[in-house]
Amino acid sequence: MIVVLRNLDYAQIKEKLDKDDKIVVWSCNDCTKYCDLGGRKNLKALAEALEKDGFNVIRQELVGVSCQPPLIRERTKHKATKEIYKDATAVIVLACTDGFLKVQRVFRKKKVIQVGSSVGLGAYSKKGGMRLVVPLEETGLAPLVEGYTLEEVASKLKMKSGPVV
Amino acid sequence: MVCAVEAVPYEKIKAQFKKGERVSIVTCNTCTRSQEAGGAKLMEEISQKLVQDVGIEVVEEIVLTIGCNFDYYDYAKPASDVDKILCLGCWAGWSVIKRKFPKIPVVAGVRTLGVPAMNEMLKVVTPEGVES
Repeated sequence: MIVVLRNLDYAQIKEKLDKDDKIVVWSCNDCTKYCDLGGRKNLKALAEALEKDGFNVIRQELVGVSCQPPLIRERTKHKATKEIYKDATAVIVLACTDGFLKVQRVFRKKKVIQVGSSVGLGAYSKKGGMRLVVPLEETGLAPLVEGYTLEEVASKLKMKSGPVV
Repeated sequence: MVCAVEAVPYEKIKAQFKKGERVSIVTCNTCTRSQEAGGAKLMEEISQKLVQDVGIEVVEEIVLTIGCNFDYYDYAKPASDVDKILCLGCWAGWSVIKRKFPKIPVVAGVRTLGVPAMNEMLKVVTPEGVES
């Protein structure tokens, strides 16, 4: 699985939004969920926090995987969501780098906010959660069979781990 | 989900086994299958060839939905009394097997090329002990 860490905290996300933005909060339900950044629970929590702070969230979108362009494009064509995406002005993406870039390409005329970045490959267990075992070269970390916790990696890379709110 | 992988050439895999070795073969059924570097069909083919060409004894073949999830291994209850394990999963899957069976040599039958980011490939660091 792809290990995804966070670039932004909640306050930084809010700074990128305007009060009149029509916001879609978008989450991948695969790797990003296992990293406890995305998934149904974290998507809902972020959307509700924004609403509470007076932002106009018009949709919460949970996608099986965000790295598959046909799944993204389908949202712009399906009768149930077509109008929502036409109206939307901002999309907050909880996904890996690839998932974010693919959403950005489909919604190139909208404000698309990257919350997560890929840092390597991880191994997951219910007991131990996600651990980074094969880092990207750019991280400067060595591979580790035992893996690094996401907190350790975030601290080394000056990033953040876990849910936005 | 998808990390980029390619199959290690069969001759390189074959060279890492000896006649009479008891081997278990594990494959991931996600990234490696979708890129024809793993999956049940390929595992069967490699297994049969290794039996014929080298004379190994295949103790078991395991297909895991995702090779980088420890919980799937726990459900699969893989044999621990083997001489070697052939991993047809990415290097994250290989790391999981190495951690579960630190005393058993784990042969990597798949190379991990990196993590895709649109048109770019973000390179990963090669773990010690895999075919790079």
